[in-house]
Amino acid sequence: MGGSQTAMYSDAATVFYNPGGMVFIGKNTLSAGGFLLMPAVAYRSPLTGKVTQSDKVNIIPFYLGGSVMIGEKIAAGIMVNSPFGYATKWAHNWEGRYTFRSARLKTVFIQPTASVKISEKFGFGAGFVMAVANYKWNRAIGVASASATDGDVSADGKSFGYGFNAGLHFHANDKLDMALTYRSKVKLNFKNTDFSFSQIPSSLSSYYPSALKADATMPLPSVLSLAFAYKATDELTFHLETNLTGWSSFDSLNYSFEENYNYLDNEFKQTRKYRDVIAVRLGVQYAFTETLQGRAGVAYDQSPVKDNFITTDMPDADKYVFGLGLGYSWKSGFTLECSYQFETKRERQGQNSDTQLDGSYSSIMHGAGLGISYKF
Amino acid sequence: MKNLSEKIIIRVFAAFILLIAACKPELKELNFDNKGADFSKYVALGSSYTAGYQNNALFDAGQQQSFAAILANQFKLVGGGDFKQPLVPGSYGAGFNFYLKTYIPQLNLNYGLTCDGTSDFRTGNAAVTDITAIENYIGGEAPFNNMGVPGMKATDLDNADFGSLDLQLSKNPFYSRFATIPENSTVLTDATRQLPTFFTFWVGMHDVYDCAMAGYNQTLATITPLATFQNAVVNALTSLAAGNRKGAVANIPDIVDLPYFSAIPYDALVLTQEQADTLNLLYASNVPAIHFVAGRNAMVISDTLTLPSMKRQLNSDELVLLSVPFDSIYCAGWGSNTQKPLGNRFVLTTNEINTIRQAINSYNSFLKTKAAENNLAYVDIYSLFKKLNSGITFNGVKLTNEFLKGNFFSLDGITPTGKGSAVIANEFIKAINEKYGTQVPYADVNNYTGTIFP
Repeated sequence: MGGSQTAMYSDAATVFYNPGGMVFIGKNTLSAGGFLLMPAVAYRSPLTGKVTQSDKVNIIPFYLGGSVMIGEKIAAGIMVNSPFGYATKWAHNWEGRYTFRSARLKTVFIQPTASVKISEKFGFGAGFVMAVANYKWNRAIGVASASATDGDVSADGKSFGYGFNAGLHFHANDKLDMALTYRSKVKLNFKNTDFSFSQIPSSLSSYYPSALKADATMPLPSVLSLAFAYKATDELTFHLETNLTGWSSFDSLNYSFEENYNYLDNEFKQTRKYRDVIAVRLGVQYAFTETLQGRAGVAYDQSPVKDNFITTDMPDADKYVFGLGLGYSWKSGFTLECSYQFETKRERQGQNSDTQLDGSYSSIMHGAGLGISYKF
Repeated sequence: MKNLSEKIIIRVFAAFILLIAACKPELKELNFDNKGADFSKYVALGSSYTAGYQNNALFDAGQQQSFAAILANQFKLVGGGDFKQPLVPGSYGAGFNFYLKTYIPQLNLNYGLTCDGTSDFRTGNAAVTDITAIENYIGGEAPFNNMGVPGMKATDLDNADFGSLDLQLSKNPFYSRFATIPENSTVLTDATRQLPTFFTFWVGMHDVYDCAMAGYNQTLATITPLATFQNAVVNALTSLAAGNRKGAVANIPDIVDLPYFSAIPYDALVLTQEQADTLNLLYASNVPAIHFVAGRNAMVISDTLTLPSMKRQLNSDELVLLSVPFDSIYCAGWGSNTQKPLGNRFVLTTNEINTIRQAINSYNSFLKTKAAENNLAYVDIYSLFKKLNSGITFNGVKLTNEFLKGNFFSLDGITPTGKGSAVIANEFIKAINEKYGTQVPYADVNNYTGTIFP
């Protein structure tokens, strides 16, 4: 539904999206599922006029979680999911190979959450977030020897981070539900990121030793959401949601290298200077029968990336998301969900001030999802 | 309500189906247009840069990546024709010392233990120097689009003797090897008889640089007087730009922006306190003005104007030339030992630098005027090379004028690498597109060769 599910309380996803609403489910839940996302980017240089299509790459976000009612007014739950992540892969010798050849960010959030019914209409929930992350990238270095036209560098870093989430749910009446939620910023500390240099001319091997360590931090943003769910008829529900994402905390990715190699700090600095952004999501849910539900949604999601800081690891732009889904429920309490999602980013042009790489970018992403949930 | 919601669902569904039909993001290649400019016969006139001379030599690989060859490749994308170059046969070639008038070997780059026990880079002579390949006459295959002749001065442009097979007469082997009629044709007549539709004109560098590279030693080389230079340029442009022919004129870079003049700092002499004390004692008796300290020190040069000792230390704005062997400075006491001041031909003093820069500036303002008068693009190489001090970054790769690591200049510290040539070609394209409204696409600098490190 274009991601417009914050004001819902139906399955374990509520633990993540709407902690205040968890207690309104009134039952124990278990959910698991995953998505197969297939992003594709095209780049065009204004200098050479050539277009490069990115290579095929898959991203597989997942979720796994559940909640239990403890009496009628308290619910406890846990959710393990991967809310942030991206992957991009370019051909080995593409024009921007000195910016990135490939990059992948994977995150897993583990969040135990509790939810309390303050009154018949209000629910409050809060949880603790533990995040683990892996950020890997590879690019070429502009040094040549008789045997190699470029050097090569790979970075691979792992991180832990912490945060919290909290939410207030307002069950106005049988038709209207509202939710206000806040997920905090999570600062990822990539300590001891492994840098490995290869195809370096032997005369420069002391400058770029084969293995080095560097530290960096990357903030994942806070998200403030306000959401409404309106049950127009017994069959039809509308969802409206807006998110304010605090990306401005991401100023730059500064690697600080171990002693004696500080001269590399500047060479591998990535300036980001993101801005805070807003997304608006709209969804409809329609019950065709008692067991079969259809869903559709659209979203407009602003990009935090400014024109002069577009990076080729994730050439972001304002995007439109369209989604369709079907859910089938059995009387036993099982529901099977499948969905399809399509994302298209506005074509945009910009010149990165670190690398001077100028270009136009256009991106799309197909995604398919499959999930199962159980209420008991 | 139900009707409306069904409509919405159907519409969303229809839009969705249309969208997911796309499996690749849509982005079309750019179409470039010559906007009426005719690049079908491009002829390049110039000297070392135009010919693709690098690492002190002319050889096939360097010629293939001359700025003129790169520019011609880009012209081909907007209707340009073949670009024939007078390629040196085989993989090797040779260089020429334009003021000493002798063949010199091609340079290569080595890395290893140096005389002072540290590991560092040193240039050395390549294993093979193929003078025969240079002297092999290929004028029978003329005409050549690339009329670049290493070492050519403006005054050589229309000089029939310049193409003499008798080296004593021409004293430059690089034109005689492909002159259409040796001792009769000139670079200019060989160029104009091809009836080019477009030309580049980049001369004047050696009119100043031969003298600068020889340390302003007037017995080795002199600067071409301004009036002589002007006459040669007017003579050439009169026939080249005739009939409103389109072309581009490039200017001369400042010496201080080239590693030949900047790789060795004036204060390259690094001493311990003990070494400084010893030297101070030696100089105290006859040249008390010369004083050393622990750390970096200005080198000692011989200077006939400093009486009575005829020795002094360099000022911070003075230049030591790359023709000084590094090891002579670092281990043999050149520039420090009382008996070994740096000789005149290895140094440019403040006055000499001023004279050279004055010549460059007056050449450039004349070239600019003539370009405008003849409706030609003016390529400001002088300003381009100034940018190399802080670096020119192209798609993530930074090129600077640092010797070796800067990747822009070849091992001789004067001529560009392939990457440097591509940046120069792009500067020509920028000026041409601005002047004539053409859309010549730019070259991908990173696809050309920079410094090859051992």
